[in-house]
Amino acid sequence: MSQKKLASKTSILLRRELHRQFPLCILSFFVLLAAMPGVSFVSMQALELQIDSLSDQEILEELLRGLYASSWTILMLGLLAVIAATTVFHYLHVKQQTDFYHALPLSRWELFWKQSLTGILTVVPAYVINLILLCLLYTVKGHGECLIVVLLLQKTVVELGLFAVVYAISVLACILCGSTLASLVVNFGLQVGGYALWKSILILFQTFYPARLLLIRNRDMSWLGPWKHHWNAMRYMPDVVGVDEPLGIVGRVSNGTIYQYNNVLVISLAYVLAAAVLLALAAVLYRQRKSERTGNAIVFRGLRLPIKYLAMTLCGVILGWILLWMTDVWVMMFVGMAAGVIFAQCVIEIVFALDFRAMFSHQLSLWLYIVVAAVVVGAMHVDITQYNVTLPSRSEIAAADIYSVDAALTTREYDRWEDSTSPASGMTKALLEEIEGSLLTDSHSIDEIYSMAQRGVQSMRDYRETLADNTEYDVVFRLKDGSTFVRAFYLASDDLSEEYNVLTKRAAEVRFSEEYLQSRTPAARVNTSEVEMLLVESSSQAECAGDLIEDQEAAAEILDTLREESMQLTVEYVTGHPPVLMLHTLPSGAWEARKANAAPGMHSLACDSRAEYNIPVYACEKATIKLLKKQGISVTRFTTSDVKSITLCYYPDKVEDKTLKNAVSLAEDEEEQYVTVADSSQFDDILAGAVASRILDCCDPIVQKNGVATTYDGYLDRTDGTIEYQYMKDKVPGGLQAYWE
Amino acid sequence: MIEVTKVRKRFGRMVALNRISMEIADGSIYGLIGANGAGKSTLMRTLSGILKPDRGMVRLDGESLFENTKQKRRCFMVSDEQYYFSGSTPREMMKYYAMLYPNFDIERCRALLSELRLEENVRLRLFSKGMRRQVYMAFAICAGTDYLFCDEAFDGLDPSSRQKIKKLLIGDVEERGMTVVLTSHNLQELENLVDCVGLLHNGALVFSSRVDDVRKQMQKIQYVSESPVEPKNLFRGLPLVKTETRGRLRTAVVRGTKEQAEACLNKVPMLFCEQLPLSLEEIFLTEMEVNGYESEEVGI
Repeated sequence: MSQKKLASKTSILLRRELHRQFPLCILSFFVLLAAMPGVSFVSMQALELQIDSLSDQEILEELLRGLYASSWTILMLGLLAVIAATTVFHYLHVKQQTDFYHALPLSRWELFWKQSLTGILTVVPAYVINLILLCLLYTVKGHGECLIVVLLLQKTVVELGLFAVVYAISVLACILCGSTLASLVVNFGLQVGGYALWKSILILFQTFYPARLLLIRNRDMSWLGPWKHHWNAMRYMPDVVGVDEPLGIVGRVSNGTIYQYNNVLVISLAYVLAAAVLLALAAVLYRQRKSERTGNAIVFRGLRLPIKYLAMTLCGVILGWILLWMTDVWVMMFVGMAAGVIFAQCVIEIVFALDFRAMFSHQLSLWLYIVVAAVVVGAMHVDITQYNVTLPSRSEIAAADIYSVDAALTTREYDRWEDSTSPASGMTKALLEEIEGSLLTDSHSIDEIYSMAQRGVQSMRDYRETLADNTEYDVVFRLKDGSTFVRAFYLASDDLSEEYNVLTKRAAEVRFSEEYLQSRTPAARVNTSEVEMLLVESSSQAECAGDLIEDQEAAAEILDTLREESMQLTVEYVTGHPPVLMLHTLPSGAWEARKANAAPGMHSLACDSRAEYNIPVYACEKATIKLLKKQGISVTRFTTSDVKSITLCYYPDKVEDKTLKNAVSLAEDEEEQYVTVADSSQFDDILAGAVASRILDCCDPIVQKNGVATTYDGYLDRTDGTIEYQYMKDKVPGGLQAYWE
Repeated sequence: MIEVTKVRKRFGRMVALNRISMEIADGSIYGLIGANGAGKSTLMRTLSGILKPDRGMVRLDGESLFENTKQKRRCFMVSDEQYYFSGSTPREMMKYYAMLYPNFDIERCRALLSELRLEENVRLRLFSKGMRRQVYMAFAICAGTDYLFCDEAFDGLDPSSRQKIKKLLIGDVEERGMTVVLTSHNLQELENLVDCVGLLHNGALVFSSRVDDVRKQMQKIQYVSESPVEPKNLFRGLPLVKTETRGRLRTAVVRGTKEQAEACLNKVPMLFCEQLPLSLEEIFLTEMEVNGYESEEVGI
């Protein structure tokens, strides 16, 4: 048969097959009709009801989200992919049908591609039609500005990319299996198996090797597994967002806001490529597939054991983890693992044989697995490699640093992206690379960090099963041979405060070293040439109010002077004295942006860009204060003359100061307590034991010096939260009515 | 010609076909018989290219058949449980086959269906088993292929339909030299149809030969002699396969040529003597005994 005739025959066969699968085409159309125009129509109706309570921008955002980030579309496309693949390749699971097709004068290649294309063509045209209907709906409803061609094309890639990879995986599952039930189970495993396996391995490693640093992306792993990523992407719409700095191809709406797809677009393109590879693999396997294996659960015998072992591993780890989470006892984790393995073995054998009586067959493979797993898990349990408790010797270390989300434990510089109350979110790959590129080299700092690491090793050795999860601090050493040593340490959960105090003291020593003061503080790091204005906040002003210094030269001089003076600060001084002023550096355009976003009369101290810093000014930095006075800014001393009462928040078991002990009644429990002191004769004594740790504390809350609301009180690069105490006053200097009696 | 060379096929631990070698000449009708589970369907599926032999080869005119679309276009397979598209009619299936088999004669097929009183626009699921079988045999005959493989070809057919189908098969074989391979577990179905027979037992080919050749070497004689003579005495020198006595009427199946048998008969005065045609069953019984099998053993 000539090529032309062959092509003609193939297209006729394809048309015939599509004709046969017409009900599937109808199903796809109606499902996507509901998921695309249907859902959008309902959303629009809901928006119309709320039109008075939403701004134009909010309505636009909602409409764009409904069009470009629809989780319903993703979900339905994924389900249709599974249905289409299972339907067109169902013949491989019925002996009669397999014999029929394989007896025909069609090669397996032709058969495979004809069926594959049929499956795709039962869904994709329905999608395209519904996309057109969706666009028509938006136009008819007067929201045509949401229809941006570039974004629509990208939306198609994103959504069909997921469809393609889910479809390809489903086809592969149909070919690997000889029954529809088994193919659906294997399909499910393949769709989420990579993610589940990775997660389970990480769970194992994280349980037995807590010293292994876990990056944030690995904690989430939304990039693994097509469903998980797309579901997250569409549900939270992190990618189709209004952005200031466009990357690649973007879409603009009438108000000038830019929208674009980001990571999910790139990943979707990767999915299309992966789908092509998977389909090619499926075609090769189909050619090798033995017709007589139709009816067997798994057609390729060599895959039976790996599939079984994979299922056993997943079940074992998941059940073990669940029991560990419920009981916090490692023994129960091992019990859970064993139970999970045996359960999976039974279920898999039943699925393979499609017979309940087969649940106890192939015991040899089960015992072999148990023995091997016991050896592996046992080795991890005893930490046979000593991974958790190994440190290089002090003499090998050339540079060091510690990172922690707890500001009291970290020796990293203040992250200017964060505002004063939000903690860092954890170690990322980029942050680790940044850390590795700028470690501390001062010998004394390294000694302190090394001591902290040694405390961590002790905790690992003695308390590995019961570490306090939220006390992580990550140690990074660069060795003299150029290699890097990284470990994550935790405090032992049963001895928290003493450990913590020791570690925070050591971290504070590092933060007041010469090297740190020269390079890591906000004062040291601010690039004066980028600063256009300074916002200065003092204790006499209302929260979030301030004075603006618009003279760029004056601002530069103030910052340069402050940098020099801040080199003289010590732990003892900062512990005993609050900052008297707070400088907020503003690069070009930042002030205008703040005015546009903030409520009238209020200015947020949050840092919105990379050139913004919060820099405290202390009373001992006299030259700086003098320069500020020239700009009309004065320092208001904190006094209690206008104080009517003081309300303190404290933890009874942590109170150490004698004066405060006299002032407050110590309840026996450890819960947070409040006490209001109205006797002004006690004020000075109480305040002697309290030091405002940030500018807001000057005019409002006060923190006890040795209190545990946060026990760090040193030189704070970030003015992090110690807002536990209320300061009551009958005169209000500004907009703080809510806080005053 | 179909050449099967040392074909072996296993399903797990079970050996379905055990080193089968045979040749099927063009223009012949080959009957493959055996008990349930003997391997007939497996061999048919291997011959038609559905299954790939684990070892050995199936060749069609010197070319391997598996995954060879050019050769497969010359073959048509009718399974024992033939599949049809859900909701389809004979007309639709006809058109489907016509796309795949270049020589498919739609008009002839329509005429044949009409002759068999089968509606071409009625859904196949509404047909009885026998009717569906007739439809498929019609498709098979009208496909115009050189080779036709029918597994349990006459299963479910009434005697009248069976005769019609047989006639059609013979007609096509004679007219265009089609080669037909049929399977059955019932010898009567293949009576007066097949040129060659093969017996499968436990996956092995017990024997395979032309029916005429066997008939030439075996005679079935019924006689009444003037004085009673036992067949073993009458046919001294010729192997006696089977004897039967009803009163004075004796029937004997002996190995030997016609002339040899006649020579024996002429030695004794006969009141009545007649040579009867050997049935397929008798031929098989004979051959099985020669090969050391009892009839119960092979389930025939």
